[in-house]
Amino acid sequence: MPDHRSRAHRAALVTGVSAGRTRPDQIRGGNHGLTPEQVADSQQGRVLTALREEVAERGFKEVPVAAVIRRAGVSRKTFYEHYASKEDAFVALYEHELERLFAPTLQAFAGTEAWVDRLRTALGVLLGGLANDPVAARICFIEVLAAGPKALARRSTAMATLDPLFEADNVTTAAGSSRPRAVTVGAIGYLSEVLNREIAAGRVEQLPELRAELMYTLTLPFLGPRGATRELEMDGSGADIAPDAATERSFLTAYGAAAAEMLGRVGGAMAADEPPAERVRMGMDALLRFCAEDPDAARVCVVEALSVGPAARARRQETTTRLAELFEDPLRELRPSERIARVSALALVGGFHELAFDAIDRRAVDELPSVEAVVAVARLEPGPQA
Amino acid sequence: MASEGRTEGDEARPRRKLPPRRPDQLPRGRHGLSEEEIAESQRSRVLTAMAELAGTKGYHDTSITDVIKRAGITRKAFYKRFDDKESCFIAAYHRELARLLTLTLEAFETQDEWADRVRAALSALLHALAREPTAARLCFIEVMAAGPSAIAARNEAMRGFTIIFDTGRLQDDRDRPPALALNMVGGMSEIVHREIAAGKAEELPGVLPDLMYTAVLPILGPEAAERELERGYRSPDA
Repeated sequence: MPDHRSRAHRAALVTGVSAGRTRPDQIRGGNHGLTPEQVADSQQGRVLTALREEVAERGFKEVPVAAVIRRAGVSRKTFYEHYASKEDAFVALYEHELERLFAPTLQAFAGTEAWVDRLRTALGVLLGGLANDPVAARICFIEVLAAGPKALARRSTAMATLDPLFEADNVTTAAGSSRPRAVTVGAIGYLSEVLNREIAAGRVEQLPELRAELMYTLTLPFLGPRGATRELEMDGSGADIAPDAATERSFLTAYGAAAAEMLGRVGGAMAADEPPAERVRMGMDALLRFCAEDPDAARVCVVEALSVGPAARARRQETTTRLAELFEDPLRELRPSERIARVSALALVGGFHELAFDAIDRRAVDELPSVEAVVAVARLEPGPQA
Repeated sequence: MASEGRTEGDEARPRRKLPPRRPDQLPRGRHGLSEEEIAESQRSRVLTAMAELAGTKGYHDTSITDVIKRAGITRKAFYKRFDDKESCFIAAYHRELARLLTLTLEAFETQDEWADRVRAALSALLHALAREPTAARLCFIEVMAAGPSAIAARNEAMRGFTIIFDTGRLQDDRDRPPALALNMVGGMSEIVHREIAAGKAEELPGVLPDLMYTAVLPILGPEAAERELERGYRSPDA
């Protein structure tokens, strides 16, 4: 690409970047004509957004009020007009975040299906919601424990919002008693204990995988061992709660075949007993030939996997890693350290994607880059050959 | 989902202050704002809201309802400025990327020698991404998850960085493929992408030596690349 384009591009991109220090959502000073109620709402919203961001960055205990008001663009006086203390603001934030997590959970629980099915769905929604919003997860299950007595008190009543999950009209325990209060309390306690432990251990994104185990323990008092074990077995795959999970699953089957073919061709081509630089070229040649000979499969691997869903993107990333590992092997002989061999291999694969993506996307086989263009980033030749 | 619960049916729950709600509209009547100012203010608030939401909870889980709530504008006003969620996301992406590109190129301009210029540029970029993990996630992860147009926008926007490597490619008369700069941008963005996807955006400045090696190798050769590794973190003017 000629570089004058980049300049123009840069100028075009830069337009509209605002420079000021104030938040764009701040209300301008002077006679703005807003009612006091509107101003108060805006201020509270900003304070809680700012608090959330600060808590995410350093944890509640380390957040000074000064940082919150600076980020929110409100005065100290205003802050204390809305909240008696930092703890009070946290409680408001906690309630807000919890409602965002629990409202969809309870909504998913509504319906006429069997209780155990509704519980499974609701739990999937809750775990998915937490996995998708680690900050909310932290606020609701970790920070709240260290935010003072008011927050703790609020927490014990707030968790009871989930009671209906275990007190549906038609639910009885395995022993036959209905609306078992102690069982409900125990179930909620168990759930929040597990969530706390997993989130604290940094496993928030893997929470959806725990659904089956949680279902086992949560349903045990109601369904008895046999019913609970069925939960463990039927849901063992690690719940993917995406609404289009079925589409994604069938895509993943096609993806698996295409990716295996791609990796197999590249790995096979490199196995020859050749000097390392030559092996890299042979692998890249095999990769480009795969793209040329099977443009549909190449498109599945490189392009489509991005747009199907999170599991497909994760698989694509995995394949990219495997591909890089194939190139890493010969590169180890050419690089000063293992680490740099790995970096170079990643650059090689990233450089391939950048140069070939468009042609693969359009199945424009004759526009695929050459082997030499793609390996240029790794500078394979010992010196200038020309 | 939660926004409709503001009408009735709420009386069972204790009345609490539900954040974050902002004034739905800019004031009517004599507010002294020009039409362009209103448009710009709304647009900017929407882009900020979208960038923050998509950069924290992900594009997929960000709804237009979330965005307009956070931005404090009506749904009607949203649709006046943007066709849909994806085009709003792309505009937010462009704004964030332009900011990152600008600070990268500004740092690039502060030095004389090409390798020093690259070091200053990459260092500025990595530090910015480390300071703003939300922007990092938006520009390197979520943009890949936001649909074909967003990916096309990303592929186009990343060309903005090629000037850094084209400057190096063109400074000597060796015959290097014209696609080299884009090839290098792709290689480096893969390395950066890895770190961010692994939740290590804050540690990005630590990969500066790796990136410098990758940047210098194809242009100046292996010896210069290894010198860059040895220089480690040292600043370009040290």
